[in-house]
Amino acid sequence: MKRIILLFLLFTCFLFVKAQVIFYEPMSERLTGYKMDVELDTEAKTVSGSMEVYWINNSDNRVRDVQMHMYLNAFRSNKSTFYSENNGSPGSKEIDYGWIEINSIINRKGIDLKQYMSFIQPDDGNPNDMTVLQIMLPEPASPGDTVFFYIDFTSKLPSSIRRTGFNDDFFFVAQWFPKFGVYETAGMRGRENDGWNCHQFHTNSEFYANHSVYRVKIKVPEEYIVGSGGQLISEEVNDEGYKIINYRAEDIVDFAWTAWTGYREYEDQWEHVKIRFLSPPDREDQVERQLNAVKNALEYLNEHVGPFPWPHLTFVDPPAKGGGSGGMEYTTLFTSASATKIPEYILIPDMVTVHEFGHSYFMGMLATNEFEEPWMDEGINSYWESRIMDHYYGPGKGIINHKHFHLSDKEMQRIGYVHAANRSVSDNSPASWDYPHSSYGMLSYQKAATWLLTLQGIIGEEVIDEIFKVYYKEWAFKHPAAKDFIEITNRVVKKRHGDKFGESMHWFFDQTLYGTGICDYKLAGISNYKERSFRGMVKTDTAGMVLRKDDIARDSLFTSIVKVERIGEVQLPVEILIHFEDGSKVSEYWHGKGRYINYEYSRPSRIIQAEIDPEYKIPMDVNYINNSYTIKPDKVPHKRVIRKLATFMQFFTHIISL
Amino acid sequence: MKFIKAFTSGAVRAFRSLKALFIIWLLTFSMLAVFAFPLKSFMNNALGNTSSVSLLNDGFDLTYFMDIGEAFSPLMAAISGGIIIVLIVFFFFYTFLNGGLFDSLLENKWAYKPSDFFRSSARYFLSYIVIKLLVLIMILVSMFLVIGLPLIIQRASSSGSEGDIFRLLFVLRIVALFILPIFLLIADYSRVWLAANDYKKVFKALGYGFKGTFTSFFSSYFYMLLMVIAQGLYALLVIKILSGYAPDSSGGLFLLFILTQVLFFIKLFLRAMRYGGVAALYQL
Repeated sequence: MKRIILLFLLFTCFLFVKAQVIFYEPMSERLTGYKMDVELDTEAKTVSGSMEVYWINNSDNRVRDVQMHMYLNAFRSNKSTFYSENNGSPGSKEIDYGWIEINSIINRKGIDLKQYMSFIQPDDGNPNDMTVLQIMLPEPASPGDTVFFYIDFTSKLPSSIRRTGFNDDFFFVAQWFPKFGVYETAGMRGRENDGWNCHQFHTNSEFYANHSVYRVKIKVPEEYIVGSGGQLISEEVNDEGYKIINYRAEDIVDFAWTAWTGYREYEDQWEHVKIRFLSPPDREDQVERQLNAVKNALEYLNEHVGPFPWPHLTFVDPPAKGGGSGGMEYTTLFTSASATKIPEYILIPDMVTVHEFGHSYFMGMLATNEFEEPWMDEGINSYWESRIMDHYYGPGKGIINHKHFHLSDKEMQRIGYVHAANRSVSDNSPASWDYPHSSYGMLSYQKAATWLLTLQGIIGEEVIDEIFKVYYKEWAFKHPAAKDFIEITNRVVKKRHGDKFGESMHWFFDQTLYGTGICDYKLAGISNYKERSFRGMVKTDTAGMVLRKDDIARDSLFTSIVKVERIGEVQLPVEILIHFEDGSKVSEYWHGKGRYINYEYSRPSRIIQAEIDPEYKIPMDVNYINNSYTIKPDKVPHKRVIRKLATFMQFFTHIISL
Repeated sequence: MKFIKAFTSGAVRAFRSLKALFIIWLLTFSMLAVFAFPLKSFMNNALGNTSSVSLLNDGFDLTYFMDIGEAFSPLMAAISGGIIIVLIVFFFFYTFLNGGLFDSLLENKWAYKPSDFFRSSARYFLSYIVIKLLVLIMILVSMFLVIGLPLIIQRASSSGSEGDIFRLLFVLRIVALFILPIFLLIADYSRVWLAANDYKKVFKALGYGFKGTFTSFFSSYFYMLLMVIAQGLYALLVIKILSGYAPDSSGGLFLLFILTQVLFFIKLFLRAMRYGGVAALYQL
């Protein structure tokens, strides 16, 4: 018993003594914690060392095993699930392969647990996959128990950087240590029974983890510049020419770091957040825009979703040789993607920065299961990315802002979905590796962002902002699932709109999140007829059949009909704007449930134009061209385009003719 | 000075060949109409009575073009797939017309007849194709050696930074710009020689192309370099003018048509001036 108490005290010391506490009140339950002491071998391309880790059993059951991710084993052979899914290979040379080995593992009683270890494959049964480790506990963990492991491990980084790895002297060290899965209790995320949620490493999947406390000591050659998701506690250089850096991170779901001799460091501040930016030396021209992008994202998400609590944030623009690590997120560390001399009107680097920072919220704080519900981080985050980009860089200009060519982020999301050949192949419910026909990216990013923008168009920006504020308030530093997001949406929409949209918004989610149909409305035509006064034969008592002309002159009135059709399966409410020749306008609201509707008017002025969804509030509509009809189509704009295109052909063919 | 003479004589010869240039413009325009009119009809059909064309009033709108519909995809696929064929057709087409143009420039007189133009075009056609193809191959190989190979070597070396690659690319482009006039001179001298001598002796003409280029190298080279730069600057000017002009009325569209064709005619004139200058250098 004394030994247990002593060990517990020692472990408590590792968490609190000599450490700068970031949050005096924990933001999360902190069911797991990691203390690591590692060294980067820049020649062998390994990270090795020791770790002391804990997991708290917060369930009501006795738990007999612990499951841990061993992600780097995805790069151990071409038969791993990761490479089987993409028909690839880690490489041809020994140095190309990546792996992780546990050299020793003991529990707090000093029992060697290696004999209790085995690899399991919960997703596909692939016996060659070694990315999930199961450790049977000598004694089951009772409710409330804390399980401690002391592990010595070696991680060999792969050469082809797929989120993690090395290239020459560049290192991006992610998914690099034995990491606990998430023990889910019954009811959590709709789960029926308690159990581990610990998926294998798939080509199309990211991650899922508990919010944890990390204390990490890293030893690297002194010429290396290191960035991580932790707050810097201390940094010293020893006599042997090594730099020893101590980091502490709290309430983040993963700890990653990078080391490279070539980084340039920049610092900035946004309110309470100290921003550190690492960039290659040749990209000085990109630094200011990158820092502005992250500050824009911080400002917008703080205002529209909830506060960013950490006082530190590091982001990295990897050099070309580390490009495979670009565009990834580890809550308080993320990577952008850029290149030198990218003109200001191309906003893709800014977009990547905004997107990856956005993940600090959407799976960093709101820690959804990226394996099982990828739309909840990628789709929701792409939605916010589009709002941020179009807000700060101009409506309609969030991706390309050139005076002759522009593209908004919202449009980019929409185009990615509505013009994908496989847009109806699946709904948004499969696990990330189960999306068929290479539809993972399109469906989990672009389709989800598009239907969220559509939801915003239907219920309004203020209401969707409230939904996300409630979502943040109730689920930050927890593990929400789709049902939780839907429940909040139903609640907030009901509160703000009453019964306008029915009892709940399930009709919307059933068609979008859980549906595969497309949305397409068409303005089929406009008819205008002059209303005529009566002229015809009538039978009279005195004269028999006589020709009668109506006295009331109605020749100045028009009967006008607007014909609207729903071509797609998805039924969404839409607005129809009708323009009359005298300049007046009429707005109609159609619930969109039938296949067609006609609007008929009797007015002195005829209809000259009608538009479905005139403010483009329904981006799910796969074709905007058929949303409008005019009796006097303006052919000038497209003639202009054709004329310029023809001129281009004329010049180009002459230039290449020598 | 040969250099000045080449300029003035080139301009005069081009001016005297306006008839030939007009024929080339007319034929080019007809060829282009074959491409443009079906596209226009297609757009009219695809767009129907939509009012969303207004999206194009604020510059090129990708959404608009993507949304034109399923019918547009096969058309775009056909255009992009057929672009190689279009380029090949125009390559032969201009090669054919070059025969008449060179003959007109060598004749250097107002009274040059259209029938002579077409006769010369037909006579030199095959020889000019061989010369053009050979010179094009020379240009491609030299560009690979000058730009492609150093870049490949630079990228393969892990020490090369992005900035180094950009700087190298900039230098290599300058080098390529200075090399290009040599090949153009070889092509032009060869064609002039063929037009002035025996049109069947292609390789002898090519030999003369090299000889003519390097015999009076500095005059020829600087003349050609300046012509290349002038044409490059002219291309930039055209891009600037056309990108800045977006008419929104039928009258404006007509003006755009006139403007584009005038600009193209000036382009033809500059090319004729280049050929004319080389013809003058040959005859000096």
